[in-house]
Amino acid sequence: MRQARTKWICKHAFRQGTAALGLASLAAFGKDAQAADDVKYFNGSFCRIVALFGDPATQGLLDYNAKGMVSNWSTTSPIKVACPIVRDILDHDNGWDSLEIGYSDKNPQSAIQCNVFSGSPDGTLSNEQMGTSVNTFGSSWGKAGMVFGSNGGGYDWGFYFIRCVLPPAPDVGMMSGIAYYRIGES
Amino acid sequence: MNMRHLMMSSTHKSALSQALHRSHRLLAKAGSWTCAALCGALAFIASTGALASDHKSYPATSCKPVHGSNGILGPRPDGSVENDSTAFPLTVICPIVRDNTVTTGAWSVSVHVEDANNSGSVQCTGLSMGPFGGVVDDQASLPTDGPGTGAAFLTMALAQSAEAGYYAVRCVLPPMGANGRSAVNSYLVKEDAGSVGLTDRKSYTATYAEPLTSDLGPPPEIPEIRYDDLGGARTDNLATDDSWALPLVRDSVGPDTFWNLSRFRFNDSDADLAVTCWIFTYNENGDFAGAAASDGFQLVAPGPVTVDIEVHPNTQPYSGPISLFCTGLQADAHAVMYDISELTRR
Repeated sequence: MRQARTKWICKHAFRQGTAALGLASLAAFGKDAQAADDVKYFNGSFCRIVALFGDPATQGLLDYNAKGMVSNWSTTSPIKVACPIVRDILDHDNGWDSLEIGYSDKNPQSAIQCNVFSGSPDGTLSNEQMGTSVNTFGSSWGKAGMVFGSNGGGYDWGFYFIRCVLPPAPDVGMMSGIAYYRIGES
Repeated sequence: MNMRHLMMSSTHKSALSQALHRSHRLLAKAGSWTCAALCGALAFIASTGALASDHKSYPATSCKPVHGSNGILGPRPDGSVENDSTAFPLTVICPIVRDNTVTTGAWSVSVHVEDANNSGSVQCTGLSMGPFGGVVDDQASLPTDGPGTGAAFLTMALAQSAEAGYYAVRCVLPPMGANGRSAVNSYLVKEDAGSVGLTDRKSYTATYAEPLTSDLGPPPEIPEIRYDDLGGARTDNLATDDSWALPLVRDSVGPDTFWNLSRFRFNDSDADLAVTCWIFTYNENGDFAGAAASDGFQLVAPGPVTVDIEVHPNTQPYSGPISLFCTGLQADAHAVMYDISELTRR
């Protein structure tokens, strides 16, 4: 809604002619290079807790390990985490080209659920895509179910954002978590 | 690093300035919050006169409560953070991945905030810091003003930066008001793109640090980190040494890209610790690809410390992320920043 209103205002402003130069110049001045994909890997340890579920006494704390992973070590409660993306190309609304999440899923009963978004500067989220993990074994990471194509749109000067629910560990040390996330922009 | 090569003549700057002024008035007339936000963005874009620039945006998820602030941090599921206290203001410190660590010029930051308190206001301060935490430049925004302020961009233009220094932005959120909770939603950073080269060095505010726990479950005492209002951090654990995870962005991706130098900086008020830092590299499936550690050392006097991890070059190929962590941190070590250089081999 807000995005639509912004677009209307911009359109109106252009029609008026008064803001055309300003906005056009803004687009030119702020324009990022339209080069090949700009790919970045982020450690899962960028992720922060958003919410706990279940018994607050468990205080489902996050585990940050030397691999750069963030995991849920609670054996009873899932945890919701927010994972920031440092968006590097901001001046157009094409969204990202690719996004994948590498994870470790040790819970055979409950998967990692992730939602990926474009956000406007005010925090309005849109263009949501959802992914679900599959079990991984040993120390291997998986990304099956968490590979996303272009999200079709972003917001000028907005941000990108990942939110995941990490299931509880079925046993001590059998933690599920986010190892990395990788984004391609152009 | 994306290289931007846009030149702007003084004529264009003048035209842009006038147009921005006109468009600000036009959009403000519409009286909508979206207008205010857009105008704020316009002001932000015009806030430095850089010839070539690099913009990055962040959800406020990474903002952390400053130690000693009595407000209550409430992370929201949309990536923003709010003050959940009904009585006290909350100071948050929001870290930045500085992408151009070479120049000493201007940069700017614009923070999107919500002011829900009719008597208080939201105010932010951009911080340009030296490699060991000294303030090189700081700039406070205008506070949001009066009842019904709602959402706004607070923009800060800073004139100076230090080579190899770091950036951060600090915001104070008033307590919960009649209109709900005040919040930081997102922030935008604009810096000079710098020179084109094969080496890409980024610096990170120590605010990003998280306590390293165990792969086998919680340790007997959960370590905590105190984050200060200038982007620094120190362990809250007086009894034992702590280890920290220091999150990284791998920005040079491809078969001929490597990291070659990482530095962790802190000020030590004692001389009895020995910090060791490690970098591990991985392939996408989690296979371990390589490791490097800083040289062991023992401090002989209090003062600024740089722990280097250096390889020439890292010949171990890796297709996935890089992780950095440091061990042996005691409460008298006040960390301020870390950085990493990546290079593309011809």
